[in-house]
Amino acid sequence: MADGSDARTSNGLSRRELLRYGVLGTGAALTAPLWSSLALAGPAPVAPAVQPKKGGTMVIAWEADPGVLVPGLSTGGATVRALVLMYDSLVHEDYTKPATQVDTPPLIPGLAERWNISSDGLTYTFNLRRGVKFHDGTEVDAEAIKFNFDRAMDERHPHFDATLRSINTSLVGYHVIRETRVVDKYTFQMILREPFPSMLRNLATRTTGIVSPAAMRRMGNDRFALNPVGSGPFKFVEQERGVKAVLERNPDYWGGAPLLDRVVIRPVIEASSRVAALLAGEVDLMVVIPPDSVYQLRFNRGITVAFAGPPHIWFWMLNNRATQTRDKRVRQAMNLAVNREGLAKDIMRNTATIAKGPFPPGNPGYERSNVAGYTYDPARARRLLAEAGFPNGFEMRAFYPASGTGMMVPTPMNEYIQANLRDVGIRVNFEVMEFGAFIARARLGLDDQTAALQTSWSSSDPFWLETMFHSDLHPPRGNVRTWYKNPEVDRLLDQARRELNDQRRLQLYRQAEKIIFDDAPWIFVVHDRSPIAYRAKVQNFVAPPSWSFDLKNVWLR
Amino acid sequence: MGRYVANRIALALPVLLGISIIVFLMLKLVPGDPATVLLGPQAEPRDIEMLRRAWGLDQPIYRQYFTWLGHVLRGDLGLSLEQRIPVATLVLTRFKNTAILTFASVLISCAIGLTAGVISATRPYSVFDRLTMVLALFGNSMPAFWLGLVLILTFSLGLGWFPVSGMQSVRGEGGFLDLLRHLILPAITLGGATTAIVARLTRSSMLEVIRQDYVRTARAKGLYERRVVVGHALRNALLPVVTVVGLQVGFLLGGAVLTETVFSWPGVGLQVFRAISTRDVPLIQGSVLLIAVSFVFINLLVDVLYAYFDPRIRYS
Repeated sequence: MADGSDARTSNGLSRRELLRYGVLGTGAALTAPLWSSLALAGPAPVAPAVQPKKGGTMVIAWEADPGVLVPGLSTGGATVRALVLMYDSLVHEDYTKPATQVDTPPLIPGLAERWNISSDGLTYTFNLRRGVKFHDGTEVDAEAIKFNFDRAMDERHPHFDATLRSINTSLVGYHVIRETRVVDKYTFQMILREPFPSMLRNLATRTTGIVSPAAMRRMGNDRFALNPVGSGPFKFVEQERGVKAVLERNPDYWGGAPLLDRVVIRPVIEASSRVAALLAGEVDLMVVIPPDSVYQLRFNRGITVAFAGPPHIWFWMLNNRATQTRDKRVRQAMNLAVNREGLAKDIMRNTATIAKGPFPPGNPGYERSNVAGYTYDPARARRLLAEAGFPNGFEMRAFYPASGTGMMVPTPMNEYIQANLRDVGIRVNFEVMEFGAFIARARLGLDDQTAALQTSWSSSDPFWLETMFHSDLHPPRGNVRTWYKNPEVDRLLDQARRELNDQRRLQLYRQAEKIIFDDAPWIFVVHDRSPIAYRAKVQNFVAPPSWSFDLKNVWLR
Repeated sequence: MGRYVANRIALALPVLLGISIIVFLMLKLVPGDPATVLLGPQAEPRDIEMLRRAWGLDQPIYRQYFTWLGHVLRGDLGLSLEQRIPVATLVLTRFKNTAILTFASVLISCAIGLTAGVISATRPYSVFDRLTMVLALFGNSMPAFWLGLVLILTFSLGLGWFPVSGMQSVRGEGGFLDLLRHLILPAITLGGATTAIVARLTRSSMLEVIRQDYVRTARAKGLYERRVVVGHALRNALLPVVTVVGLQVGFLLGGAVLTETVFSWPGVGLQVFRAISTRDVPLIQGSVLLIAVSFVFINLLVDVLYAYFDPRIRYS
């Protein structure tokens, strides 16, 4: 992969330094992945011996204001990225391993040191780390954990929050939790209504971040939102909405104190202004780089571009009921007509990788996926269209959002696909919509006059296939907006949901994936590589396969 | 005069009420609601319904409106749905920032625009006049986002004179000088079009006035040319300029979104834009209300200024 060198040189450390780094006690968990990544890379980059330095303020430019910094009140990428720095969950994703090395961030202990899942898959027992303190000095114990779950699930709880409930039901699956129990001071238990193998991975989502009950009781929900208290590597200092959020090192962090003194998060919404701020040195790191700026930044010696490769897929949903796209040969033809390589290279400037099937990278289903992908073959596409009764192609309507989280650069991308489809005789008329209006319309499912919509999704659990392709989840019940229905796929997905063995479960999803690929209810297009750029003085930054990242081990030269 | 002002303020109340109803209805007509947007495209219908109920979005529209109005009458603009901060706090901070930007840009516009307009009018069809008017046309035609980026490229990245974005340096000490350094480029960007309008308007208005009998009389009295131009001609030529500048101020207070976006200036325009995208009804209502109040106030100020510039105008 072309980006491999980027991420590795970004470490900027030699083997000897790494050894010393380990000896210095910054943690074996950190050293091991760096070591093996360098071993993979062959000769280590020669760099002057530099010791990690404590201190300094790192300024980061984000694509949006992180807004309210309380877990579970927003699903926005900018918010969740900040929550990762400030809060802990029971379970964490390991962000110290770069995307060049792992496809999915491994699950590691968070506030729970160990956990146990009963053989029926219903009882989750978490043994908590002892002696962990919230930023206000109170202890993180099983009561505190229960407080956090209760206030998301019980409407009568004095600190109940409706947004928190909706978000964690939607992202994590809180509706599956029947009850939570405090077994003893350091043991917390969760009983599910039905087996839900995705639960553990979902709990690592930082919308489940644990807040300090003492602080919340003292301040109440509204004032807590202005002075949030968690237990993560960085503490909240101050926030001016739309201007900055300031965090400082938590010297007592159970996983080792961060090296940076402070992190300042600045929302710089306009992409070209964000690039300018990085070039001018006003910020040290930026996320969401516009494709046209990637080369400019990559060839700038003082700047490193790393690719994260989060679990993301950008695709077209095709209407499996509309006159034009009802026949699977038409849908296959549309998949064959799209030049994904061209799109990824010419429009996205290699900030995207091509999608072969429905699984995004960072999802266990993506690794060793057994679909080959549709290769660009307009001649075959035309033949399939003719076989399906459209020798002269057809005209169709499609809609997409003008912007929005994960939508990348929708207009140039959709126009590229429109041109590809025109080459095989399919004339697409677009309706471009504002994001909110788009969601409202998409939720209803594709209407008979509309053959397609473009959207994007992010999921790191294979269960996701069910939410996208199970016919029980046609709107308004669910999000299968294509009206796709295949009894065999339904059967496999039902079976997979009940299967507790991870390997067998994954096998069932892969079987379903193969059928879905052949039925082509979508045009599988690309995955965002989510480039992140930072200045040379930023040391030891790792871009993991996620939208979020860890700054605990980062230091400034 | 006092009664006139009081009357105008009383008249403003139904205007504000009307605006709040129209904005509210428009928000209801636009597809998508705050629950759908907040939970994102992945949310299950069940979760969206739960949140809609909790926020009272399942109530009839008129009831939602009167609930909001009831709170406003008690001085409570509510809590932003998305940001969880009292709307009044959010809006006032942002409004202050936009006001700083607007007044700086109007100051620059008036200083440059009036000078250029007056000189052009006193030397019509000279090289200076033609050059100024071409520049004015250019200034008026340049979109703010383009001008802003060109200024950043030249003066921030190229010459390193000014910071790229924001209102204060996050690393530095802050203070007035820091604010001034951050203010100059966005103020020029925002003021580009206004400068052009003021220059052209001053010129044409001056040309008209300068041919009047009383100007000739002033000159015949033997007054210095400067006194004639500034004291007699300009004062009378200013009336239309004041009207337009007043309108511009009102317009810029609410409509500086593009400049605020390019320079990450934390103003009210940017905030309203985000609030509209997230359908944050209380925040949109609060912001629009404040913008409307400022519009009414500035119009009133312009009316009062008329009387100052032209003593023949008396309000009773």
